[in-house]
Amino acid sequence: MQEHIKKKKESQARQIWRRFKKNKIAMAALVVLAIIVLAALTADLFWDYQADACDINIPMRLQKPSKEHWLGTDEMGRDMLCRIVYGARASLTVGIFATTFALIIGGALGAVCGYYGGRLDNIIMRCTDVLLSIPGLLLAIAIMSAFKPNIFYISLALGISYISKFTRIVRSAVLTVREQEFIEAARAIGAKDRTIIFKHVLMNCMAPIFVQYALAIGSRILSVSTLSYIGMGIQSPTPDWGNMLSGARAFIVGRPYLVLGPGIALLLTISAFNLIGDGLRDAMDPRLKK
Amino acid sequence: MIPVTIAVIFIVFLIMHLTPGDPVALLLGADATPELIAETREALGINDPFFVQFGRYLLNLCKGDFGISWYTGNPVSERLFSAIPYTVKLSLGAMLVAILISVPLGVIASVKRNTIADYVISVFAMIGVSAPTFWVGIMLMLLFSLNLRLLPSAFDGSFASYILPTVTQGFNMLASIVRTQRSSMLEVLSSDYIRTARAKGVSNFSATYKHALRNAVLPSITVAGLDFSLLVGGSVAIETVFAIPGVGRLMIDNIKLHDTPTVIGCMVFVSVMVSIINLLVDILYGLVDPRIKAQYLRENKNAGTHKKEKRESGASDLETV
Amino acid sequence: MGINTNLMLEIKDLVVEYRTEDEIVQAVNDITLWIEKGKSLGLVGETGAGKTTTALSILNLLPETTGFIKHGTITLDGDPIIRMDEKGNSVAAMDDSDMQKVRGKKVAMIFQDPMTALNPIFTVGYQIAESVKLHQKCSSQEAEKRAEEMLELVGIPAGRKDDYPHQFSGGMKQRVVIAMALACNPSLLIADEPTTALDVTVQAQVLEMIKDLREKFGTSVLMITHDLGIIAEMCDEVSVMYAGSIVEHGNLEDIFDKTRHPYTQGLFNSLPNINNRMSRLKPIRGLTPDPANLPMGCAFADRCDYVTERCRFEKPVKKWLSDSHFVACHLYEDGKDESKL
Repeated sequence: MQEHIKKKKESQARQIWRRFKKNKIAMAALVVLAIIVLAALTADLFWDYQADACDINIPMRLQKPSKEHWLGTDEMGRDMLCRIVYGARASLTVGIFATTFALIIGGALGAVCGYYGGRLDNIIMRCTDVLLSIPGLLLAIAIMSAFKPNIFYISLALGISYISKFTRIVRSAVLTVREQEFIEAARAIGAKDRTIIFKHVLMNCMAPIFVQYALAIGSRILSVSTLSYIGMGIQSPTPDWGNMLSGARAFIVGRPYLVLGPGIALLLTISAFNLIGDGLRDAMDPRLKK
Repeated sequence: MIPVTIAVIFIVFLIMHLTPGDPVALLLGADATPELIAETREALGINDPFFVQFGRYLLNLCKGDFGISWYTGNPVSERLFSAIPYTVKLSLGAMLVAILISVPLGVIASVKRNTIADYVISVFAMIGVSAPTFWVGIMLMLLFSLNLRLLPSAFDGSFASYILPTVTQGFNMLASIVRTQRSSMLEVLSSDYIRTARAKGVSNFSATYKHALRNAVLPSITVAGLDFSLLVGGSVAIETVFAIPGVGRLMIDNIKLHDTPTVIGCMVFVSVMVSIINLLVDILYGLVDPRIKAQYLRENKNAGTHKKEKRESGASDLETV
Repeated sequence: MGINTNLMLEIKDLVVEYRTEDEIVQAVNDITLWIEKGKSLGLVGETGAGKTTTALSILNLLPETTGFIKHGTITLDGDPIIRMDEKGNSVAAMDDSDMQKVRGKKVAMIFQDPMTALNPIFTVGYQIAESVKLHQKCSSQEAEKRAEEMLELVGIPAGRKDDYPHQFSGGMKQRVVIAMALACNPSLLIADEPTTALDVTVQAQVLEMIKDLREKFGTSVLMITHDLGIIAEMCDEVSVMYAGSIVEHGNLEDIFDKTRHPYTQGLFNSLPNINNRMSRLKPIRGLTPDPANLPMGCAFADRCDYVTERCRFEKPVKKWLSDSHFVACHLYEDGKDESKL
């Protein structure tokens, strides 16, 4: 009996993966994301970052798509395809940094809230309420006004506005675990509750955290592109999909393809993360799948 | 609502305070004399300690005084009030568009689940959450204003010129409501009380549209309320794309100019507006759900906790911006 | 049994499956049961034995996307609800609109959990009146009048008809559910563990009420429960269900005094004995088998004290011990009707 149960536990991750694999859409999203990541990582094999993606080359500006420049060139004469590929770097880096930052801080706060409860919990939850009442993007914009627009600070600003979400997830996971009877039972047989809670909380909030992590990266990438578009994010000449769109905006009449490329790259990347998040949720909680 | 607004002001004050560089020097330009700069600093009260400035601002705010713009020298309230109508019209319109389209779509998707209609709607919703609003705005403008020439591309405050920005912003919000509506509808449809209703002979149609829909619309109302804050945030980008002189635009421009009073004024307005919408959502919720109404009438402490639970459970997982 | 026109409900060879992405679960496995008019049948068994599934099949309310009737016939008062041929193709079945006329009017159901059985956004009066309006040609006022009567009947002041479900306690909600079920004088009442979610004192009240109403209106009852005490109190006949099959059936005397099947025996041994408080409980060892993976032979074999080699490889068939009593167990297949336990 005991062995049977243990075996089931161990194969949980495998089970999730098996269900995830059945989800064709989520798998397609995973493949698309893998291609984007691969492209971002191997870009240096095809282009020279400084020369092709950053340096201004006025004589070549606004070239139509051709054999040399598959997607044409932008208003500074830089190859669009090259900049789109390098743009993935900035987006992915900020997305992952910001989300990880939010997860670490939010997770720690949520754990503290759920574990200690009482006044501390109250204070922290009030603070997250305040954070939630400020539109995340406006908060990020305000923070960016105080700092240099580099990848580190952008990640920080976008991470801060996402902390409350993780705080809530972890807090409610801790609370659920605390209220469950097996904790009582484990306490009754003399186990240290700190270790039990930690172990079970971790087990319990893994699923929602994984899901939220994927969704959050998508949302952060969306935000960084918006920040860059309005000029508060990643600054030209560093290629970013947002600032590329901002640059191309002036030329949409004659060269609509300039806004198409970075936009589709954004759409693909963000929906890939969203679809993976959805797929994970379905795989982890098959009850929800109807 | 008021404590939250004060907290918001505090945070923005703090951030602006931490901003490096001398805003006055920036304002007066390179050829300002040190004496002039010092004089202006004194006049603007920038030399006072942080908490003195903060307290003075709150006091003035109580009197309805938002301060004087450092950049134009006009009262901030004047600038703000000329921008507010645009943003309010835009966001309320977008919310209306989103709700009117997304609730029926969500219901269709749940009733016809796993059919072509369901898939098409979910793809549509996925594009809505995943596509940056500003890009959607550009694309719609390209299509409807520049190619089809159906709508004006320049914003002039006319009804026609509101259509594209409103739809763009509504599209972004639509997605999360569709998804919420679909899943809550599915949940309600498989609930015990729908089974009870069907067991007493209620037809499928009536079980779906009379018994289930009103229950299932509750989470959508919550999500719409929560997303309103995102929507206001997103208006910054929309107002930039369509060159609408709204609050978002005002804020961005003045952040770049280090015009602290104007920026804080914008933030105060946004947080008050978000609070008001959330209040309205709560009232609406009470109208639909007798349990909540009873709680308000009783005015006991539980009302607060219930509200919070409801938010936590109803919050959409997909956030944009 | 033969053909009996006096039957309110007859279920024959019913097989119900639940299909999920991962597996197929045989929830109901070839069961046959019947209820005579005005009588009440108790369906007893552990959680997961397929009792509720059987009840939902009668109303054709199995979860649309996952639950499927594979085989069998269900006949209600002579009208076929579902009839399938050997290959599992539907030969005759009521369509949706006919079914809607049956539900609530001919067959009403009381559900297990009163807390979730009522729609939170409608008043209880409305929910009862709706049922009346659906099945009887009458005005809204008349329907509402009827709702008030029904509330009084189940012991709730009619003045509370404008209250919402959240303003009632669990026991009161169950009364409302019962009022709703009985509003159209159904010929058959299915009560699916009507008291499981209630306090013991409230349980007694609710049972007493069902009993009274049954006597008053001559309703047939299918009482689903895992509580043998309720069966003794409420029913004329008992079917014992285990892992989707009926293992023993008889009248009260057959089941309580001439218990034959080892599982039924086990159920009795698991009850505390009020006359002999010193006697030890003897629980049935082990767990119900995984319904997705039923054993080849008798489903109870793993837990049975009398298990033989044959039990593991051959399904026991129904053996009639008397006119009213049958058992499905290899212990009795030699034809002698004497307890082996």
